[in-house]
Amino acid sequence: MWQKFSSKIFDLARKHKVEYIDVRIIPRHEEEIILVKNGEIHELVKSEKSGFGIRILKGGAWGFASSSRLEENEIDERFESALDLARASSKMQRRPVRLFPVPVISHGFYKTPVLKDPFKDVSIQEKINTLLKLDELMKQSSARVNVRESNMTFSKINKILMNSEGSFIEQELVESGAGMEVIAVSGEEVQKRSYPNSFRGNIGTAGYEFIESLRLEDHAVRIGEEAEALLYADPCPEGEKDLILMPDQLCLQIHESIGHAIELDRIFGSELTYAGGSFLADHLKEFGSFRYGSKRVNVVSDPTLSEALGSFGYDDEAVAAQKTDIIREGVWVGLLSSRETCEELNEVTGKSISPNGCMRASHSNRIPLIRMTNLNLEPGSGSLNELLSETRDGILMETNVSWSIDDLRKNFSFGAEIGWEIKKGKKARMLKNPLYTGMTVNFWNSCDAVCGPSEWRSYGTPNCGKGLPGQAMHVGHGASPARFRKVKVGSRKG
Amino acid sequence: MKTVDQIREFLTDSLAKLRKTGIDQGEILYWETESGTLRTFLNRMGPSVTSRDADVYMTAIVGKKHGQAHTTDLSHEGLDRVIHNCYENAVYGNDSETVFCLPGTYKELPPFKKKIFFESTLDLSPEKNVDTLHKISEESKKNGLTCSARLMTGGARLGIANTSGTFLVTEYTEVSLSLILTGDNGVSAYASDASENIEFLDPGKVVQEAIQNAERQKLRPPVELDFSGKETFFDVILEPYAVAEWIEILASIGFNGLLFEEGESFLSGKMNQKVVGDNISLFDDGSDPGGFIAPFDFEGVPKEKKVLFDRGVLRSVCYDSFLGAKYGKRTSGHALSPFEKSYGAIPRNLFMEGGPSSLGEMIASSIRPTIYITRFHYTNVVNPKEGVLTGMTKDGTFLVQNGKFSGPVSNLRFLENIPKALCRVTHLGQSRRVHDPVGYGGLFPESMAVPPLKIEKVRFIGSSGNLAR
Repeated sequence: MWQKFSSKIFDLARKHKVEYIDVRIIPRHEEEIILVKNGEIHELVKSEKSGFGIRILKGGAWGFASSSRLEENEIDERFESALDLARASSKMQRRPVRLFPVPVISHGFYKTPVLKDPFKDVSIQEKINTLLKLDELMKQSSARVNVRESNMTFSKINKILMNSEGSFIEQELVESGAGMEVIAVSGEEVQKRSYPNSFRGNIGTAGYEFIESLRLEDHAVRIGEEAEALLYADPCPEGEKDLILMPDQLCLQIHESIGHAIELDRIFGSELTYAGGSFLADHLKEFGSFRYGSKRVNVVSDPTLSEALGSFGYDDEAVAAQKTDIIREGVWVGLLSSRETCEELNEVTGKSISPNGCMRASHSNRIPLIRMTNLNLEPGSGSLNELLSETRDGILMETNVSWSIDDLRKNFSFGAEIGWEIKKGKKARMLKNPLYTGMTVNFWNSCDAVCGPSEWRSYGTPNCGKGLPGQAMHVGHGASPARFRKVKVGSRKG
Repeated sequence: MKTVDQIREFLTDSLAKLRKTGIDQGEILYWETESGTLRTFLNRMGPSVTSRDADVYMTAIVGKKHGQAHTTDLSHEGLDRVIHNCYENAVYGNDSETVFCLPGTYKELPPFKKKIFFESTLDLSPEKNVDTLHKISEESKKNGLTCSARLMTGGARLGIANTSGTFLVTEYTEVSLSLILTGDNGVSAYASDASENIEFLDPGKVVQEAIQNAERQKLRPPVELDFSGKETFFDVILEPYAVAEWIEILASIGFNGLLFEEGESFLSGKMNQKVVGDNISLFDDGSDPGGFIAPFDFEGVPKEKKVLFDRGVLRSVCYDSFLGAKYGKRTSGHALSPFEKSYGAIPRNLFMEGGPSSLGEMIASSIRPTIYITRFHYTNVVNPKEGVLTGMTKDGTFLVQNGKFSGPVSNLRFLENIPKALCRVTHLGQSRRVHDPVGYGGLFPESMAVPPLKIEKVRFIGSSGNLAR
C-alpha cells in the first residue's frame, strides 16, 4: 500500500530532478498512558498518530514538509512545500550539502523483541490494578507521604523509510515503561523519592516483561520510608568531596556532559539558535587524541543493546544501527554523526569517518537530526561494596532531581534526591538535598573507579530536547556506580 | 487547514457521536497548526521545515470516572476508533472521590482588543523569509559578526465543544525571529521579537539590538572573574530576556494549582502573604493586547486578568476545571493542552509591572562590581519548595562598575532562591514583550511582558572558565 503512496512522491522527485529525497511514513503510532495518583486514576489516555514527512535535497539545500494526514491528496502540496523550501534555501547555501555514500538497504526490517505485547497481552484493567496496588503500598509506607504517583506508558510505532537511492526499511519499535514516586511533607520541608528513576520511572524497548522485571512492588514501601527519613536528615555539607554517583544519576551526567557535546551537528554550530554548541568545536583537530577523561572512562554509543530505550534497527536516513567507541581509556575517539556532517568532517579533518546511524526524528512531522542512541559508560571492575570500602570520606548521590549545563557543555550542576555520607569505607548518615557542580573535562578526568558489570544498569531518557521546532527524543544510558575525586558538593536549599 | 466553519461542523458531528456512547459528559478539542521554520547557523542555511498537524482530543466522563483519547486520523474509521477508545477509558478503574463537571456555557467570545489572525503570516512561501535571513546575515557580516537565526511563521485553528454547552472556535497567527551573533574573542549576542502579523515584525530592529550588544563586547577587553572554589555574590542587571526565563519557571512551579495544593510549590500555604518585594506585581491576562491574545484555555474557558502578585502579596494561583473540582476552587482559565494536562495549570500570558528606571540608570547606579546579564541557558529548578533555580548566563554577560561597562566576562552559573532575590529588586525598567517559542507541540498564543531588573546580591557558584565562544 505504502509503495503506491510513495511512488507518487518519487515520480514528482524525478520530474523535478531533486538530488536526493527520502519519505518517512508512520502508518500507526499507538500510545497508552496510565497515571494513578493518590488512589485515583489521574490520567488514562490512548493515542493514535500517523503521518508522513518528505525530505528533499535540491540545489545543495534541504527542504522538509510533513502532514499528519496520511492521504494521497496531501502529497502534491507537501512535496511542493518541501521543494520550495529547498530551492529558497539553496540561494543562501554557502556550502552545498553532500551526503556520505552508504550501502543501500533494499529491504531492511527490524522489530523490537517483545515477549508480552503490552497492547494485546495485558489488559488496561490489569495495569490499573497493578498501579493501584503500588499506590496502596506507598500509602502504607509513611504517614508523612502526601502525594503518591505511579504510572505506566506504552508505545508501538510502525515506521517506513524509503529514499531515492533505493533503500526501503520497515521497523516496529515497542516501548514499555513504569515508575512511581512519593512526596513527603512536614511543615516547610518537602522530600521526594522515586523508583526506578525520577521523572516517571524507566522505559525500555521491550514488552510488558520489562515492567515485570522492574519489581515495582519490592520498592514501593522503601521509597516512602526514605522520603520520610529525608525530611529529618542533615543537609548535604558544602565543600570538595569524593563523590560516588549511582547509575540513575550518572546516566544524566553522561547524557549532558558527553552525549550532547559529541553530536557533530552541534560541533558544527547548527544548534546555536536553541540547544547550543559544543566545547569540542575548539578541539576538532585533536579528535582521536583529546583527553576527555581518566583511563577508567570508556564510553560507547550502542543502539543494538537489548531493551535499552535508544535501540532500533536503522536510523531515519537508512544507516544501520551500530556500536561506536566514543571515549576509549579517556581519549575522545568517536562522534554521533550523520551522512551530511561526516562529509563535512572528513573534508575539514582529512579523516575518513563513516556515519554511525544517529539521525532520528521524534515523529514524521519533524526532520531527522543527530540524536543520542544508548550512550553508555562501560563497566569497570568490582562491586559497589568494594568501592565504598575504598572510600574514606565521600558522598554518594542517587536519583536525579535537577540538571543544568551551559550551552557549550562545560559547566554543569546536578541535584539528587538522596545522598549518603561515606565515612571510613561505610555508608553513614543520610543527607538531604545533595547537589554537585563542576567542569566537564575536569570531572571526567577525576574518575578513578567504575564498578563492574554486576552493578551496571540501563535507564531510558524520554525527554531529550533538541531542534526547532522542538523534538523530544527517546534515548538510553547505562552505567555502573563510579567515583570522582574532589568534586564540589553542596545543598539544594536556597 | 480546515476552515473555521469546517471545524464547527466537525465538532458538532463528533460531539453527537461521543454522546451516543452513553457518556455523562464529553469534550472534543480540534487543534490544527501549520507552520514553517527556517534556520541558519554561522551564516549558513540550516535544516528548514514546514509541517501541518491536526490533532483531535476527546475527554469522556462516566459517573465518577474519566478517560481521554487522541488521534490524528481524521477518517471516519479513525474518528470512530477515538470515540470508542475515549469511552472505554472512562469506564475503567475505580471511582474518583471528586465529581468532575466540564466548564460551560461559553459560546461567544468578547471582541478581541486587537486582530490575532493575519493571512499574510500564514503564507509560508519561503522566498521572502529566506531573503529576510539573508539580509540579517549580510548586516551581521558588515559588523564583523556571524549570524545564526530562526524565523518561524505559522498559524493555528483551535475549536472546543463540550456537553456543558461550550462551543468555541478561534484562529490566530504568529511570527517570531531570534538570532545569535557571534564574533572573535568569545563575542556572543542575542535578540528576538515576535508578532501576530509578519508585516509588524522588524528584522532590522532585532539585528541592530544584537549588534549593539555585540559591539559592547568588542569595545572592551574581557575581564576574568575568579571563581576558584568559593561562591560569590554580585548585584545583577537583568535584561527582560533573562527576567522572562526566571518568571516563566517560577510561574510553572509557583502558580501551578497542582503543586500549590500538593504542598510542593514555594507558594504553598502563602495565600495573601507577602512573598516577594513591594515593587513586584505580576498578573496573567490572555486578553491583554500587550501580549499575544489567547481567547480561551484548552477547556474553552475565556481568558481574563488574574492578579498573581499584588505589590509582593500572593493573590491567586491557577486551576483548570479538574483541579478546581478536586480542591473546591473555580477554574481560572488555565487548562493546559491535553498532552500537558497532568502537569497542572500554569499561567502563560504573564505581565510584570515595570518601573521608571532605564537600563542606563541601572548601569550608572552600579558603583560596586555588578553583572549585566542578557539571558540564561538551561535554567532549571533545583528546589521547587523554595523556588531555587540554577542556570548559566549566555550571549552577553558583562562586568559593570563605577557606573559603566568594564568589559565582557565569561558565562556564570547562578544558584539562587528567586523569590528571595525578588525581595531585593532595587530598579525596574519598562516592560517589554518577550517571546521565543520552541514549538514542541502545536501553536498557542503565549508570551510574557517583563521589565529589566536590577537585583542586589545574587549568588554565583561558578563560571564557564574562560570567555565562551
